[in-house]
Formats: sequence, structure tokens, C-alpha cells
Amino acid sequence: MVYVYLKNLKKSWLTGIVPPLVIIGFVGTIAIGWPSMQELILQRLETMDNPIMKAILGDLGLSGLGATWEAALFMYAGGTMNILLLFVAIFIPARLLSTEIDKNTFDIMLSLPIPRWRYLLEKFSVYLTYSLIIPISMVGIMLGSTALLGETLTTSLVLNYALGFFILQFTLGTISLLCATIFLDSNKSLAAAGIVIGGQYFLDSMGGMLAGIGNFEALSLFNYFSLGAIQQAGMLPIGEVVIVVSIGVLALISALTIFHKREFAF
Amino acid sequence: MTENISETVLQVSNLTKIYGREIRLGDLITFGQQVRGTYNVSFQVKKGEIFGFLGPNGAGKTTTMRVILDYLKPKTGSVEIFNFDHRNDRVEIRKRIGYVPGDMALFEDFTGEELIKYFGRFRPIDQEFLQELKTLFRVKLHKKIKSLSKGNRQQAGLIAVMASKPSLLILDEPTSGLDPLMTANFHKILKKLQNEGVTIFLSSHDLAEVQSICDRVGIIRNGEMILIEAVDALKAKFLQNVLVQFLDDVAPSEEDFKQLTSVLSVERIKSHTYKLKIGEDVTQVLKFLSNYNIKRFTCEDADLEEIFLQYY
Repeated sequence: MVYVYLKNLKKSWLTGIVPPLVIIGFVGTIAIGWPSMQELILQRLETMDNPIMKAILGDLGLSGLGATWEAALFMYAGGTMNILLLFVAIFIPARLLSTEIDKNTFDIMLSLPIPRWRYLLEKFSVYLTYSLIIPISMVGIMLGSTALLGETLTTSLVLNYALGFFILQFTLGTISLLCATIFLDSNKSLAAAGIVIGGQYFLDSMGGMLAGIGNFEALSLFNYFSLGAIQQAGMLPIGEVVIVVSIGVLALISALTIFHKREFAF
Repeated sequence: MTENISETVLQVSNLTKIYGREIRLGDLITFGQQVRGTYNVSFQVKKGEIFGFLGPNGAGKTTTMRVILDYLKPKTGSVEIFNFDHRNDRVEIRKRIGYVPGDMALFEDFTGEELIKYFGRFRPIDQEFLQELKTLFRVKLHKKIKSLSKGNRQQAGLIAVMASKPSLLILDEPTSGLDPLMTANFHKILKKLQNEGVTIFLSSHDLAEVQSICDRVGIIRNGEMILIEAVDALKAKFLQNVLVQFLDDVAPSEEDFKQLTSVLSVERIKSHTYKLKIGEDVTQVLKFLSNYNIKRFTCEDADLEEIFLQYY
């Protein structure tokens, strides 16, 4: 049985439900304010279609959506999701081990008859479980608010966007987890994950402004599964899925192997 | 003691652990620093034995325990527990052992009962023994761990680890924080477990504790195992305290005693009374004393603390 998973699932529920609540609250607020804010938001959308705004707010891929409820929804919800993705992926997996180490409960956990790789995998699965709630909540609140407002929303676009978000959460989470298994120490793990993941976010955000110099955006995982790419392909681009999932699996296997073999000299 | 005493449960062979890395460029330039944790430590613990592991702070006790548990990698040497290799068969070994670390930290949001239940999911609980432990320790297990005092947390942890009645208990300062009554109860439990064939590897600073419950003791100093001996044999072999009071003025001087090779120290208490610490060769002292008229003579084994201090 997955006792480590269940224990940590119960323990981390508060941390786990905050990001979905942020999304629900944010989209809910937009929906409530939509009738009165419509004009303002539509004006905002038109000013968005330039590299500087894209650099500030990230890739929103709105060109094909026009000034609609759907575009506004993806602009605000999508931007918020990216920020959430950044913080959740850095702060939670990078501290999966150090929290146990800091509380001195790591020694006793390691003495229990469970393979180390499985212990780590179960802990990481808790992160994945709560990560799954974020896109599910997003899909729910987006579809629900659209129905209530009587607006239109392309369901397949929302579902693919949510799936892409989850895949990115997995991969960025495994990179953060790899940092945790290498450094063990809370500050070092967070710093390393912050540099690697935050750096990618920065590249993705600034990539549009630096397009003349080089294709920096391509180096960032945040650049994958953009709304524009999903619209164009009508689904998640398979090539992107293969790349992102491969990076994630590789990082996860590396993290599990390092954790299984390393010594704990603290 | 159990019948099958000869079976080796824990075998540590030539264990050397070096901390840190050192890179030398010629004779003059060195990067990093290496610190020796343990050097060539070897010992074995047999089934049903209580083995005391003694040493001052920084001697290498915790390093040895952490290597045994495969938290640390040794530079050389091997560890076998129940004939399993400690690196390759971690899970099989952990099914059979219970480990109580020094300053045991537990999951603070759990109650004592939840903690026992959680540990029981990994190693099945002996319900009858659990009831016995609960009766002896009397800790309020319905309370959250974070609301318990240090001693009560230690008790809750001991119950959780021991409730499965593991075949080998590895205990690092297990009675720290326990009051004398609970310590005595804990010793009773250890003796009971020993009688049922459980092997106990006990690291402790409390020499009285080691003396009262351990069968054998290993002393580690500066990372090297300097002595392994049965507690009784150690006491008899190494040090005896002799008090001798002479009848008349014809008594030997301190210098006369110091001529005897078996006399380790001599202290004049009164004009005709001496306190001697003598080593293995009691006959030499008795022959010497037979030349004098003696009013009183007492001889007793030194306690473990005195023996321990001989090494430091």
C-alpha cells in the first residue's frame, strides 16, 4: 500500500488546495465583473498584441481568438496559471525532502522497510495529485462561468490547455525534485530550482523582446503548449509532448536514482 | 540468554569512513579536507545479545550506526545484518530491525496512536506486546506528538518502534529524556526481549545502564574500536579496587606499592590504610601483602565507569 503517499496527501491538503482556490477565485471574479468590465477588457486585449506586452504577461497566444470572452479568459486565467506553475513547481518539490530533514523525521523514515525510490515517488505523487486539481479546477470554473454568462468557449482548447499545463507541472516538478535530491538542504534546493525554473520563465517572457538576437524562447519549457500552438494543431502538439515528457521522465529517473544511491551525511 | 547464541546477527568488518574530499596537487597545494569518521572498525553481535557501544562524543559511534543503517557509505569494509548486505538488501534488513535515533523526532501532527498505527503498516504489530508497552510506559497516546514533553515523545517513539518486536533493535541513546522509573521499565522490556531472542545494539553514554543490561561492550575512541569484551570479564580482568588496612606501624610505603607492576594506582587514605587499583595479576599483590600484618582487606571489581575512564 501507498502509506507514505496517503500520509503526505493528508498532511499537505492545505498547501494543495490553495492554488486551485486562487484560480477559482480569479476566474470567478472575472466572470462576475465581466458584464461591466467587458469594454475595458476588450480594449486591453487589443493593446496586448505586441512583443512588449507579451514579454510582460507571457505568451497568451491571443491573436486567433479576437476580443472575446474566451480571449479574456485565457489572458487572465492563463497568465495566472503560468505564475502558479512557476511558484508551485519551484517551492513544493524542492522542499519535499528538506522539510523532513529539517524536522529530523528523515532518519526514522529511512529506517522503515520501504525502498528509497518508492518513498520519494510516493511523496512526489502527492505533488502530482494536487497539481492535477489545478487544471481540473480551471476547466471546471472556465466551463461553468462560460455557461452561466451564456458566452462561448472552445471546450477542446480548454481541455488541451489544461492537459498541457499538467504535463508542464510534471516536468518542472521533476526538475525541482532533482534539485532536492542533489542538495537536500532547503535553501540550496530552492535556489537551484529557482534558477533553473525561474530562468526558463524569464527566457520565455523576455524571448519575444529578444527575438532579433536569437530564439531564446525555445530554450524554455514555458514556451511549450502555448495557446497558439494548440489552436494551430487542434490538440497538444505531439512533438512538444514527446520533448516535455521525455525531459520530465529523465529528470524523475535521475532524481530517484540519486536518492536511492546517495548517502545522507547531515 | 537464548539458546541459539552463536548465530551472528550483525557483522561489521573493517569499516572505515572518511568524511570530505581532498585533492592534492603535488606536496604543497591541497584542496578540501578529509576527516576520519571510523577506521577499521570490526565487531559482531550475536543473536539474543545486548551489545553496548561506548565512546565519548565524536569518537565515531553515530558514524558507525549510520554506516550500519546505510545512511553513510563506508570507504572500505562491509556490514552484514541477518546475513544480508546492508547496501543491497536494505528493505529485507529493515523488515527485521527497529531503529531509535538519538533525539528521536516524530511526526508532530500525529497522535501517539496514529504514530503506532503508521509504523505498524510497515512492520506488523504484536498486539499483546503493544499492550504491555502501553502499560509500562503510561504515555498519553491519544495526544498529538507536538503537545507531549520530550520524555513522553521518546516513550511514544519507543513504543512505535518496538511494538513490532523487531529481531534487531538499534538504539542510540534511547533513554535520554526518560525519568528513572521509565528508564527502569525500559530496561525490563529490553531484558524481556532479549530472553525472547531479540538482539540489541545499544549506544549509550550512561555507563551504569550499559553495566546493568549489556552482555558485551565495545569501546570506540578516535574512530577506532579499542576494546570488545564481556562486561563481567572486563570488570574482573581490568580493574579491581582494593582497600587494605595494616595492623601495626610496619606498613609498606606508597613507593613500595608502586614497585608492583600490577598496581595501577595507590592512594594513602590514613596512615595505615591504602586504596589500590590493581590490574589482572592479583597474586603479585597478595604475595606482597603476605609479608605484613593486615587488619582489614576488601577487594571489589571496579565499575564500568572507572574502566572506561582508564581509556580516556
